[in-house]
Amino acid sequence: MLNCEQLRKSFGGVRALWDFSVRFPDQGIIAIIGPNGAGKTTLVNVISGLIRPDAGSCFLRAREITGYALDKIARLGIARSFQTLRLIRGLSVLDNALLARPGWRGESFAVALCRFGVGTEYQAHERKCLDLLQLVRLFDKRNNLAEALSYGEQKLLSIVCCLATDAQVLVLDEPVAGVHPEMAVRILDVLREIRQSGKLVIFIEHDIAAVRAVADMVVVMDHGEKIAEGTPEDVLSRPRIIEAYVG
Amino acid sequence: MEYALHIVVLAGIFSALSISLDLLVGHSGLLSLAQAAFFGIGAYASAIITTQAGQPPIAAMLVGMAVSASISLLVSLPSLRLRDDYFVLATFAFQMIAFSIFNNWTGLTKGSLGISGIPSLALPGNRGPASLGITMASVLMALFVWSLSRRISRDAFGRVLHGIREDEVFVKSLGKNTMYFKVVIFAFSSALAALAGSLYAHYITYVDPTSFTVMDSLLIISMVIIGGAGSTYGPIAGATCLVVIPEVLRFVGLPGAIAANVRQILYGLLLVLTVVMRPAGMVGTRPLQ
Amino acid sequence: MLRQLFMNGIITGSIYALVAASFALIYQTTRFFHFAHGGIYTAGAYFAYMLSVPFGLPKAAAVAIAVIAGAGMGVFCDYAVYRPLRKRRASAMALLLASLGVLVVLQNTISMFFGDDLKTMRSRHVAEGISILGANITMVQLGILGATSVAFFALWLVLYRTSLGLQVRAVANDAELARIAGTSPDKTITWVFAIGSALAAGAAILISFDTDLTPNMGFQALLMGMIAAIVGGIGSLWGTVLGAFFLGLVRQLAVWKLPGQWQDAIVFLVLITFLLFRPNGFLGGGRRPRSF
Repeated sequence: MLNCEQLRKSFGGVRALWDFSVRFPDQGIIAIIGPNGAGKTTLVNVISGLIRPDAGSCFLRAREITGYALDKIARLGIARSFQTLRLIRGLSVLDNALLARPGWRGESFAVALCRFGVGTEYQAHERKCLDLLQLVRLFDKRNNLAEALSYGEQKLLSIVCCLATDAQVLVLDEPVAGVHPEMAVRILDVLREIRQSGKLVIFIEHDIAAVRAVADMVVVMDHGEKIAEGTPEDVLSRPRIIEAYVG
Repeated sequence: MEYALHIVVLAGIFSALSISLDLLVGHSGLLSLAQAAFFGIGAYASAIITTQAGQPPIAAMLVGMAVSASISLLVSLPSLRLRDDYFVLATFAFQMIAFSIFNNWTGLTKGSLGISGIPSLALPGNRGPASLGITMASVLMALFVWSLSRRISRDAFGRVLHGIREDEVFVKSLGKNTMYFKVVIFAFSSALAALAGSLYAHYITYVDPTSFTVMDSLLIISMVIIGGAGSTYGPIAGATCLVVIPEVLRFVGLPGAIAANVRQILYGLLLVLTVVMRPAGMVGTRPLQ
Repeated sequence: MLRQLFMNGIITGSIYALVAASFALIYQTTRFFHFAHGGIYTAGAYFAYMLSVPFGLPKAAAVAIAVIAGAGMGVFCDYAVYRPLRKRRASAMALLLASLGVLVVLQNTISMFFGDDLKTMRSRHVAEGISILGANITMVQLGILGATSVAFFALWLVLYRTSLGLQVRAVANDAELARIAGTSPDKTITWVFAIGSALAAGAAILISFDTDLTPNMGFQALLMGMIAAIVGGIGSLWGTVLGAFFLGLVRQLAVWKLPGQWQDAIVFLVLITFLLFRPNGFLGGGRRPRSF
C-alpha cells in the first residue's frame, strides 16, 4: 500500500531522516515509536506531503508521490492528524466533519453561485458525518463549536475528520497523548473499528501500553533511522529497545 | 431630498465595495490593499467604453468586471502560493502601479485630467428625476452584491473559505485545493469592486485617478473592519457610517481644505480603536483572525 | 548615459536600502508588516523641514532633532498600539490593520498641517556636480551616499558587535526562546522600533535634500523598502542592501527606456518574478515563505 524508500531529510545540520525505508501493509494498525527527536513526525510530514524529502521516495499503491503537495496527497487517499491538534475551532463539530468530506459539488464556484442541487448533496454528506460522529460518540455535541470540546474530544474529532475524507490510509500523530485514560481507551477502540473496516492506520505514540494494546506491527526509529521492525511482542521485548526507551 | 439621495447612492456604492473586500478580509482571511485599484478599473472601463467607444453602460460594466477579474490573476497567482504576507505586499504593489497607470497612460485615461461626460443612469423611459434612476441603480446593485456574497459565503464553498481563514494547513490536509479557492474569491471580489466602480463613474459622471489611491484602499479596509469583518451587515454598517460622517462634519463647519483630512484621520483612529478595543467591529460577532 | 543611470541607481538604491533595512529589522523581530513605518518616514522628513525652514534652525540641529523625533514616534506607536495587542496575543493581521490605521492618521495629519503641495529643503543655488567615473554627481548626492554608508556601518556595528544587537537577533530568531534565556522581548522590541524608525526618518531627511517633500512620499519609499527586503531576502542584511540597489538600478533603467505609465509597473514585474522563482530572494534563507 504505502512504501518509503531511502528517505533523507536534514534540517540545518541535523539529520531527521536517514536512509529510512519501510513497507506498510494494505491494512492494519502500525505504530511508530522512538525517543524524542527520532524523526517520527518528520516521517509523517514527508509521507503526507507537508515537507519534501532531500532524497528518497514514497509510493502509494505503486504510484510515486514523493514531493506532491499536502492537499494532493490527501486527495490520493492519505489523511493525517497533527501533533498540535489542528481543527477549525470556530466551526461546529459537524461542520468540521462536513468540511472534510470530499466531492462537494458546491465547492466549485459556479455551483456555489447558482446553488443548484445544494440540498440533496448536503443530506448525503451529513448522513455520513453523523454516522461517523455516532461511531465516536460525539453525536450529541455535533452542534457545539469545536473549541468547546475537551482536549480528548478534539482529538476524536480530528480522527473523525480523517475518516470523513474517505482516505484509505490514516496517519495519526500522537492520537492518545495527553488525554484522560478513559478517553485513551475510547480512542483506541475507534482505531480498532477503523482496522475492522479494512483501512491502514499508522500512528506515532510514546505510550507503550497503547502500542501493545492495538498495534499489529511496530517500527522503531532513532536518529532518523529504522532500528527495529516487527510485532509488538517481539520488538518490545528486545533489551536494546527497552533500554533506548524506558531506561 | 436631492441631498438624501446623494447619501443613499454613495452608501450603496461603498457598501458594495466593502462587501466585496469583506469576502477577502472577513471570510477568507486575506488582506488586500488593492480594492481601490479594481474599483478604478471598473470606473475607467465604464468611462472609456461609454464615452470613447459609445457602447451602452451594461456592456461597459461587464467588460470592466471581466478585465478586473483577469488582472487579479496577475496578482494572485504568483503570490497566493506563498505566505499571506506576500499577498499583502503584492496587492500593495499592484495598487501603486494601478494608480501610476491611471495617472500616466494619458492616451487611454487622459491622466490627471480625467474623463468627463460619462452618461448618468436614468430610469427606463426617462421618467422621473435623473437622480432617482441612479439611486435605484445603486441600491439594487448593493443588494445584488450583498446577495451574491451571502450565497458564496454559505454552505460548502463558504465553509472552505472560513476554514482557510482559520487554519489553511488543516484545510489542505483534508484534500482541499486552497489555492483555487483563494484565487477564485479574489477574482470575484475584484469583479464586484469593478461593478461598484462602474456605478460610481455613472454617478459622478467624471473619473480621475485621485479617487483610486492607496489611501482609498485603506479607507475601504477601515469600513470593513469598523463595521465588522466577516459579518452579514458589518460592511454595510461600516460603509454607511463612514459615508455619513463627512456629511455630519460639513454641518460642523470645517473649512473644505482640511475637512477631507479630518475625515480620514477619524477613519484611521476608528480603525485603530476598533482593532484594539472592539475587534468584532460595530455589528460583528467574531473577533478578527 | 549608462554610467549616469548606474550612478543615479546607486544613489536611489542607497536610500531604498536604508528604508528596507529599517523595515526588515522591525519585521524580523515583530513578525508583522509595520505599515506605519511609511508614515514615520514621512513625518521625519517634515519634522526636519519644519525645524529648518519655517523655524530656521541650523540644518544639522533640525536633522538631529527630527531623527530623534522619528525614533520617539516609532516607540510611541509600539507602546500605544502594538504592545497592548501583543499582550492579547493578537494575530499578525490585527497588528497590520492597526498599523494601517496609524499610517492613515499620520499621513493625513501631515497633509492637514503642511498641505499637499511640494515643500523643499534643498539649498537655493543650483548644485555643481563633480564627475566620478564618467557620471555626474552633486555634492548633496555624495553626501547622501556618505551618510547612508555611515548609517549602515552603524547598524552593522550595533547588530553584530553589541549585546543589544545579540538580543535583537535572538528575539528575531525565536522570541520565546529569547525570553527563556533572559532577554525581555518587549524591551528589545522597543529598541528595534527606536533604531528602525530613526533610520527611516534619516533616510527620508536625506532624500529630502535632493528631492521635494510630499505627504505621500512614504508610500513609495515603503513599497520599495518592502520589495527590496523581499527581493534581497528576508533575514539577510546584505541581501536587503543588494535588493535595494538592484531595485534602484531597475527603476533608473525604466525611467530611461519606458513610457511614464510603465515605470512603476517594472517594479511590480520584478516583485512578481521573484515571488515566482526565488521567493527567498537573492541571499535569503532560513525562514521558508510557504504558508506554514
